[in-house]
Order: sequence, then C-alpha cells, then structure tokens
Amino acid sequence: MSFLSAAFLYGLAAVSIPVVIHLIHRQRYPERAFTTLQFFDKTVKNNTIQRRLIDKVLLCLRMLALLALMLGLARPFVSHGTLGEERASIVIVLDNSPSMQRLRDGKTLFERAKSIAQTAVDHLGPADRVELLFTAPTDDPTYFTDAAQLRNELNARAGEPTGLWLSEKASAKQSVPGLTRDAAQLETALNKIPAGTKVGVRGYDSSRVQDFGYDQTRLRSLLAQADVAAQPGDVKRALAHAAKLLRLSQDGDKKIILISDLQKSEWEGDKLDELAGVSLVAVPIEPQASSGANLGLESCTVPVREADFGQTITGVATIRNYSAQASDEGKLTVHSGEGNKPSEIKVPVIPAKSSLSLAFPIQVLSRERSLLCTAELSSPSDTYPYDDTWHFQIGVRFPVQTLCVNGEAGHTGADSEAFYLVNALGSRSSSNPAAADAKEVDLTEFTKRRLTEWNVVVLAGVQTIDKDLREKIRQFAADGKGVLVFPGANSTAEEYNAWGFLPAQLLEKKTKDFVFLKSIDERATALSGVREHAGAGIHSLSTSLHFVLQPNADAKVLARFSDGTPALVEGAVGKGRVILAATGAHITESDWPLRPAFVLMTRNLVRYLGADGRPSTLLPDRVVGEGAATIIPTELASGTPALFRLASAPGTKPQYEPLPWLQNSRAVVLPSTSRDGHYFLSMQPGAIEGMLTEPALDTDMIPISVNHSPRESDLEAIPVDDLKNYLPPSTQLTSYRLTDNSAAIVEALHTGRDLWRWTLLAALLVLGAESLVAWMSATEAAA
Amino acid sequence: MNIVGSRFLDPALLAKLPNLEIAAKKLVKGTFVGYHKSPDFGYSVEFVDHREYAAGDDLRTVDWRVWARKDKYYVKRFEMESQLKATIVLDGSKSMDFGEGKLKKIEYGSYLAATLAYTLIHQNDMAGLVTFDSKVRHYLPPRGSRQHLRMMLHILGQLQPGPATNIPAVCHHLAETIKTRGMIILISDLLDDTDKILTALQHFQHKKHDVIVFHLLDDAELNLPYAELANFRELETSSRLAVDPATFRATYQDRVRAYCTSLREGCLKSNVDYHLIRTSQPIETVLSNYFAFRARRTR
Repeated sequence: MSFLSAAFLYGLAAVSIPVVIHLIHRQRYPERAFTTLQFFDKTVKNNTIQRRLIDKVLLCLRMLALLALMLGLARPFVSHGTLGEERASIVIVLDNSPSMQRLRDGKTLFERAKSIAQTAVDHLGPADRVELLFTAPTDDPTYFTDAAQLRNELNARAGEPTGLWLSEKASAKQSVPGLTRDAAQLETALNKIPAGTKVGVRGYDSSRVQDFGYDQTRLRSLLAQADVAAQPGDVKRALAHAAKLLRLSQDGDKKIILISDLQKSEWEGDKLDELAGVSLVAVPIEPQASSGANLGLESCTVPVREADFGQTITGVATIRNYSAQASDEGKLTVHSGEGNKPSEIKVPVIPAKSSLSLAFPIQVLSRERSLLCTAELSSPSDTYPYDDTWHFQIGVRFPVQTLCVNGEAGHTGADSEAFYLVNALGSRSSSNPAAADAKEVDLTEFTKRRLTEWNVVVLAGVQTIDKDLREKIRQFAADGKGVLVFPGANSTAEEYNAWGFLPAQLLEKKTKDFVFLKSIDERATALSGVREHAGAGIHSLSTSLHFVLQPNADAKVLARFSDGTPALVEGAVGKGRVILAATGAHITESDWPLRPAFVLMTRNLVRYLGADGRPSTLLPDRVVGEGAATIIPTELASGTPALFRLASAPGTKPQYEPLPWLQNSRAVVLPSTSRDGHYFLSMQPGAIEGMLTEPALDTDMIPISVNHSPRESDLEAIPVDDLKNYLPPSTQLTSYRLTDNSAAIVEALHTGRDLWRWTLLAALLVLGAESLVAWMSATEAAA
Repeated sequence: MNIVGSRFLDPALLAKLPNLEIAAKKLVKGTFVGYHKSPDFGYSVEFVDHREYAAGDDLRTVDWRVWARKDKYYVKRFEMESQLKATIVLDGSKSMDFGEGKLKKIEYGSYLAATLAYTLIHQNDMAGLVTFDSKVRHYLPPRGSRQHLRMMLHILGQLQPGPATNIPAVCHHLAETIKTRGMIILISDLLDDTDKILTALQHFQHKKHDVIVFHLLDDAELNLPYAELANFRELETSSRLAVDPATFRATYQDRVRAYCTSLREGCLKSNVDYHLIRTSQPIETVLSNYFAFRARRTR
C-alpha cells in the first residue's frame, strides 16, 4: 500500500490530540464536597470503571476517526483487492519520429503504435485522465468539425500563437487568421465560419499541452489525424513533459505509456531525472528484420557558397551505412535546378558501419540568384527513405555588365590603362568563369555611350573629364550603379578633387615611396573573402606611385597601404557606390596587375559594385525541427518593421507564418520546420501583423535549405530490458512485448485502487459511532 | 435585644403548627407537675390503688371510707403527672454543613430544634439543647422558661460546624449525664457506624429515656443526582475519591437505602422513634406529620 498524498500522514500526529485532551480532562475532574464517602467503593477504579471504559472507548473511537480521516486524506492506494476505485492518469507518449515509418508486416510502426494507443484510450474509464504526446513536434493542423471541441482547443491554446486552417475550397470564401495570440480575432473569424466546416487549428508544436483531463474524444481525433513527423523525435523531452503533466494529477495510477521503437540515438546523453519515481510502461514497437543496409546521406557539401553563372563546381556527398551489414550498390542523383539534367553517380558497396564520400559535378546554370539542389540516394535494399535526400543551394553570381574606360588616349592593347582590369574580370578557366561582361572603351567613346545597360563603370587612368561627363557619371552612380576609379600616372589631384563624386580627396601624389597593401577591412562586403582566398598575397600588392587620400566624412576605408594611407576608399552616391583606389591599375604605375590577389580583389570589387545594392542572400542551412534566430543582412532589414514569412518549397502546399523580428540583434526568428526541403523567406517591409496574405510576387524570396536530422538516421534500438540503464533508478519500468494483440496494455492501464473514499467513509462511521456512544453516555448521566 | 438564632424560630412556621403537642411515649419524671405521666404518685385526679397507712403518710390521703368499713387505715394513691424534660441533641458536625437545597442540614436541624423547643416550652414542658460533633459542644439542661428558649436560640445561632462527628461516644456520654428520665430528640445525619449508633441509642433506652431520632439527609445524599465524574471530597476528613455518579448512582442509592433501613430496623428493635427527614421537606409538614404520628402512638 502506498499513499498518494503522503504529506497528510504528518496529520497522524493529530491522533494524539484526543489522548492529550483525555489526559488533561482526566486531571481536571471537578471537586465536589460531599458528606461522606462511606457509600462509595473505596477505590477509584471501582467507582469510575464504566466511565473510564466509556472514556477509553470514546478515546479509541476518536483516535480511530482521526486516523481514518488522515489516512483518507493521505489517499491510500493499494495494488490488490476489489475495494476502492480505479482512477488512472495516463500520458501516452507516441513516437512519431521518422524512424516509425518503417514497416512491419505491411504496416508502418507508427500505424501499429497508433493502434495500441487507440486501444488504450478505448479502455480508459470516464474518470481516467489521459493525454497524448508526440515525441516529434508537429505543426500540422488538427482538424475539428464540432464547434465545441474547436473552441476547447482554442481555449487550451490561449496565449500561444494559434492559427486557423481551412481547406482550399473553404479558404477561398473565408479568410482566417494565421498565427496570432489575439483571441478576439480568432473568435471573430470563428463566428464567420459556417457550421460543419472542417477547421484546422495549428500552433508551433504539440508541447503546448499544459494540463490534461478527461477529453478522450479529442485524443481520438488527435490520434486519427496523427502522422509520422519529418522532424527528429525527442523522446526525452516528451517524457519529461509527460512526467510534468503527471505531477499535476493526484490519482494513484499514474503512468506514462511509451510506445516507441526505442531508437538508441534518442536516448543517449544524460539520464532523465524528471522520470524519477515515475511509472513508465514501455511498449517497444519493433520493425521486421531488415533485409538490407540502412544507407543515409550524411551531408552534401560544395566548396563555395557562391559560384559564377556557368561555373562547374564539384560537390561531395557523404553516404553512411548505419547498419551492421554491407550495402548493395545504389545511385546518387543530384538535381540542380529546373531544366538542368540531374547528375547520376553510382554508389558502390559500402561496408557496414562506415561511410563513403562521392564527388559530383554541378554546373551553375540558373536564372535565379540561388541554385537549389537536391541529392537523392537510392538503394534497392534501403527501406528507410527518411535520410536519403539532402537539400543544398549555391549562390549564383551573374557576370556584371562592366564598362572599362581607358583614360590614356592612344594607348591600346597591353598599354591600355584598362587592359589589366578587363583581363582580371574575364574568364580564367572553366571552373572560374568571367566575373564581369567587361567592355573596354576610350574616353571619347565613353562620352557618347548611354550607360543604362551597364552596371559598373571602371575609370582607369582618366586624366580629365568635363562637367557634363562628371554629372553623367554621378547620376549613373546615384541610380544605384557602381563606379570604380583607378588614377593614372598622369592624373592630378586637382582634377580628381573637382569631380565631386569621389569618396576621398587626393592630397598629393607620391612617386618615390614604395608601399604595399598592408590591411583590408574584412568586414566590408566589397572585399569579403579576399583575405580568405588570397591569404598573405595581399602584401604583394605593392606600388611606388600612389596618391595620399583623405576620405570624406561618410566614406569607408576598405584597405590601407603600409604607410597607413588609404589604398581603397568606398563612398555612397545616391543609391550607388563609388570606390576610389589610391594607385593605378597598370604595370607602369604599380605592381598590382601582376599579382593574383589583384585579380581576386578586382573581381570582388566589380561584383560588389554591380550587385545593384542587393547583398548576398545565402542563409545558413538548417535542420528539420531546429528553431533559431537567423541574422539577416542589414541591407535586407532596412525596411523594418518587416513581415517575414516562411514558405515551404515550391510544389508543396505553401504555409506562411509571420516571424518575430529581433530589432536589436537584427535577426529574424525562424520557427522549426516540420519537413525537409527548400523554404523561402520573404519580407514585406512596413507590413504589420494581421491576416495572412501570400507574399507578393515581387517580394524577395531568400531560400533556406532544410535537411533531415542525422540523429534519426541511426536506427539501432535499445533492447527493452536495457532501457532501465537510461532511466533513473527510481523509475518504475514495466515493459510489454507486443506483437499483434494489445491486450496487455489494457491490463497495464489500471494497476491499483484508490481507497480514500472508503477510508473517509470509515472515518465518518467511526465518528458516528463515537457520537452515538457519547450521546448514550450523556443520556445515562443525565438520567 | 436581637437574638442571633432567632431566625430559626420563624413565626410563619410556628403559625402553621397550631395546637400541636409533643406527647411523651413513656413515663417521664419532672420536678414540676405537668400533664405527662410520671412514675411517681402524686395528686392528680387519676386514682391508682390503696395501701396501708404508714407512719409519716399525709393524713389527707387516708381513705376514710375504707377505715369505716374495715377499721384499718388505708391511704389512696393517685397518679403523678409530671413535666416532660426533653433534651434536643443536635449534630453540629461538618457533615451537617451540607445541602444542595435551600437549607443545609445543620440549618434545617436548627430550625427543627428551635421549633421543637418552642413547642415543648409552649406546652409547659422543659427543653434542653445539646450540640455536639466529636464531643459535646454545648449542653443546656432542660428548662421551661422563655429565657431558656432564648438561650437555646442563641446557641443555635452561634453554632459552627465542628470538624468531625462521634455520635456513639456523645450518646453514651449523654446517657450517663442525663439522670432524669425524659425525652431525647437526636437530630443528626447519623453518618457513623450504624451498630455503634444503635448501641448508643439503646443506652438511652436503658436509662428509660424516650428517644426520638430525626435522621436528616439531603436529597443529594439520598439520590446522588450528579452527572459529571468528580473528585468527591468528604467534608469531615477531606479525603477524596473519584466517582462517576452516573454509573454508580444505582449502587449508591441501594447502599443509602440499606443504611437507612438498617437504622430504621435497629431503632424499631430498640423502641426508638426513627424518622427520616429530607431537607427538601417543609419543616411544618415534617413536624405536623410526626406530631400526628406521635399522638396516634401515645393513644
């Protein structure tokens, strides 16, 4: 026998109260003067024996009543007998992790688990409290047709981001809120929905359950709609949550029923202290013996985050054989954008418990700024498809339309001031295509040309330009384009300072001091990656002719010479940018064109200036079920407050959610995604939270690649007998090996009886007996 | 001058006792002529017998008619009618200082003694008063004057309960002390050894006294009406005993009843008038009934 509210056992001390009162009362018999005692018996015992007997009976009855009362309050719970009531509080933890989609006798493990859970719910009595938790959170809507159940669900989610969900047909007629905390808004929308409409309710995940009760109908509905999640299961979190729920219950039969494939990877780590003292009924669902190896794509990596349009890069796929047997031959198919022919690579036999890296080529051909790629692994013996797909993306850099102006009239060919620039911007190899579609013109032709088709103008060695041309170039930059200026040996500070759109003043020309590029601003987008790839090569960018620059107030120094003077200065003109170099781009003025770092730097500068103000949109890859804040480039967030929405990949049903924006850290909080694939983050500057609408077509769509969690790949299971090694010693573990019948689980539902009503009844009866004896005694005394 | 004990002689009470007399059951000897029979011969109208004249006899008693017939001198003898000398013996022990009603037993006894004394003196008899506890505290020999009555009332008014009682010893002492046969009226709760009390009463009888016992008991002593368990403290000895009256009542009542019965029967055997009086009974009723009973017996 145990006690459910053992704290009340301290109340047993109250049993001493009648004893104390009895003793005090006995000491305080009133004294009565009387003529003689000769007619009484001479011993106290004889004179008071009946009263003492009655007193003792009353004392015993009172003690017994208090004892029964305290025991009743302490809620005795016995595991045997027929007396008492069966009241169970049960939390069913259903493993809906991807590993549960494996098959056994033609049915998935999850279907079998659902069947067992259904049986358990069906055999619960109306007094039993029950809740259903899933190990993998899901944001799939839960559908309701009954308005009362729908309102109950909304009430249960009060205060949490909650959204309504209608079928496509119904949503065409009725607009409903997406995720919102505004209960009034939900109520208003709910009132407009015609009766009988199937309405879905959705939140971030199912861990919202804060209490549990007797609504078994809701659980049946929840069970009927439940499906395997794409997110990895977190059985520990679910069990901890279940234990927390059970602590809310005062019932005697409190247990967690875990129906799971007991995937080992979900149990590793710290022991679940939250399960201390909890009764856990483990129902392992075992798959049929595997006929093949379990292969999984561990990762797909590409050497660069961004590639030039047309570039062919080589990616590496890591394939792991998680099983204890060698795999069969398979195939890896890499899709790289619509319209591109997928690459197919043969996957050789992979030994047991080992991995293999396979290289695959990807040609960057995309009209979008990101090339969305998906690698698919197929093997005839691999029956677990969860981890056979990997999504990744490559940023696409299109050639920048660049007009290089040769400032020295008459200098052509290698003597042209723009020669080395055009050369640097051109195609280097098949794996390093042209950074810019560059055209060289002289100043006369430049004066005649319209600049609308160009993105960047490079002025190389220009000595002088007239006022109209200055205005033309300034307007070109102000329209959001870029201007890169390399002064020549014959350029003068006076002339350049008169242009008006340069980011720095030229103070003096130094022709005898030998300086080299000592430092670059790595935080500047214009030179990002230069140090990474050029390394110490930037120091080889030396010159004996350079101008001493004095940056304007709003200008930014991108690089400095060894004497501390600026080498590159960036400034803004309208929507565009102008970058001024302190030296020339011809070998007659400096050694720069001769150095590989010059090529890298020039290509970066031109790409930066030609990016039309748009920064790189590559966001870090993510894992299914992972929720985190993602830093958004400052330029993208310039329109804040903004409405960020996460949409699933094209081809699937789109889901949009307003995402919180962290103003201080300039980051957007991305919710956990329930499926792998490519998602799109869209921004609507200035929008406010409210009724959801789909993003406008012209909204920037930033792709995010979401992949499966490698945690779910290893399917090794814990033998149920070893499960105790992963639990605190005080956890009462019971395990059932279920095959095709789930009768044992029914027996596990109720394992004891709560005697508190009976004990309190006994207390009342004893109190009644005490009153009766006291009344009879008083009546006799009065007579 | 106001007499301390005059409260015990309630005019209203006396008014309710008209024409009541205490008649002596036995022959009583008195100094003065009264209306009670005396063992002596005297000058009453009741002729008893003749005896031969002896020298010294009063010639007025010679029956000359007998001399005329028999030529011998015979004297006529007549009954002597004497005054009653009643001694009221009042128990003044601590056990008498008890009463759950309006009057304590000692007060009730005082009322009773005073009324009896008044009645006796009023009928030209003599009344004396003895108060005692373990020994005699006051002894007022029988007298018939009103002054004497006042003295008796004074003693009653001053009467304080003594520490303990010893009825047999006092009775034996009185039996030896009171030489003249008369009436002994014992007013007491008789809470003492029954056999010894009866023996002492027989001592009175032996001395030819007419003995009347008024056994005074409170209702509480007879019924033990208490409900709560209590520590009962004996008034005279201060000894204590925890008793549950509720459970012991019946036994107690049986024992008291047996005690009274044994006293009654003992008195009956000794030709002592025993009369149990509850202090809840009106004194006038008690006395009326008793006087009537006494009168019937005397006839």
